[in-house]
Amino acid sequence: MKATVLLSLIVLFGSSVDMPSDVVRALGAESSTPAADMDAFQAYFHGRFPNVKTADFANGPYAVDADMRKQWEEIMQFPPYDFAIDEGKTAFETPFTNGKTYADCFDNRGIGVRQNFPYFDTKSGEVVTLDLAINRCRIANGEKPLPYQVGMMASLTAYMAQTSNGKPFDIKIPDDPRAITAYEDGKKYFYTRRGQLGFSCSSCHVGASGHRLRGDILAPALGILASFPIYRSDWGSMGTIDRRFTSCSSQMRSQPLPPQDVSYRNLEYFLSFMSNGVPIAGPGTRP
Amino acid sequence: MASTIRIRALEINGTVNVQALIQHPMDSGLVKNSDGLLIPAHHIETVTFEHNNKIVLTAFWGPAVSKDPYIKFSFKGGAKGDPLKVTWIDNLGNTDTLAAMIA
Amino acid sequence: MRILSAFTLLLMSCCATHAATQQEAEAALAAARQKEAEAGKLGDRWLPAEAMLKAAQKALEDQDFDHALAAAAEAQALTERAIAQSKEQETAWHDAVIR
Repeated sequence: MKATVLLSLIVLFGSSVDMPSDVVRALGAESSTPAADMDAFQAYFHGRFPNVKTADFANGPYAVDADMRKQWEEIMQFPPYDFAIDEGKTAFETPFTNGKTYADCFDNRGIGVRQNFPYFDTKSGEVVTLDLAINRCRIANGEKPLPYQVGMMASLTAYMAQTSNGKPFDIKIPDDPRAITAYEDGKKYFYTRRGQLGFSCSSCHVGASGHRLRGDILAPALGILASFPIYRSDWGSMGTIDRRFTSCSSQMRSQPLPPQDVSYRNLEYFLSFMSNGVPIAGPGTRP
Repeated sequence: MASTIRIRALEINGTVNVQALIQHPMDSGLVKNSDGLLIPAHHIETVTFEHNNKIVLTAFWGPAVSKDPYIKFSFKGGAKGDPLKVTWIDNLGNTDTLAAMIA
Repeated sequence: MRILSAFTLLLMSCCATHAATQQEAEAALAAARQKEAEAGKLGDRWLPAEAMLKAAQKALEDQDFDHALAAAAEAQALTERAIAQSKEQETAWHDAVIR
């Protein structure tokens, strides 16, 4: 009640009153830390699915449904993303016109680094995802950026994810108020209802996780990005995190944002941080 | 150029279990692209599996089979080390073949 | 006086069922578009509202002003709900947070 009154005062006088930032933040956000958020988030899903090991959360619906798991194990004898990994590896190792390669843009030559993305770039003051980093690498070396969501971007990230298999998510939030803001923005996006259907990400992937949505089993939000990019049978092709975010927006009957929009990157930042400790299991396959 | 065929053949107690994944667009010819034009039919018509130069399976595929098809079957009479050959031909006359060994 | 007002009422009621004019349809569409822009600023445009705006535009081009007006009104109504949801969610999202 007090918060609502104070909030409305801020809305009325916000432009003229200089509110201390921590007061504004406490009123507009949870008064908890990202680390506490993560503990609560992980505890919730471990409580919901007590027989699922941390590493297994990377496998989404297959971790929480026995029948789906059986079908998945059959598919995994010949993963449909195999071709994408090969294509990605070849592209990764092919030099740009100027002679440099992707390896020159990343730590450790780009091998085994997927678990560190996204990170908060304190120089530019924004969240940098792996996909964005790949295109910035291309632009810096005189190449045209790749379209997001599908195709070569999916193949490159498939190869890079594969080199990180088994490495736990290690997302950092630096001691920078802009990083906290980006995290909080992603958190807000995750829990905000949107679209004509009025669902939030949490509507399906928290309380309803493990249950059916038409013919699908809803994946828990914990570890949900660890298997990306994915070969989705529904798509008949590979897709990146952007592809899933934009299609989820459409499914809520909300106008999708452009790929790598600031909101999507902040959402990825929040979701990945929540999954710290869950090992990368990419690329993946989904129904 | 990498092969479009991936195969795994395992012999267990006289039965050979074969799995293969083939990279192919399998366009039915009925789907339109974003400009509203039909994507021409381009799909595998036959796949043959040969063991010791004898055909053990012929598959007749067509527009109903999805992109990058996967096939799994078993046959009796093969042994470890025996050759297994896979060949596919599509409606445009393209073909690919792979010689593998039963493990 | 009473006869005059009754006559005016009769006139108004018959006007309520008249065919929409081009100006009415264009005005409704412009108003709906403005509302849509507001929804866009809040970050949540609804796809059915966008579809209705397109339908209204097409109906206008086809000189079907009745349909244009109806579609614009539908787009307006949907967008108002979108804005209401966005505004409510500004604070309501906290309720969903895992604690």
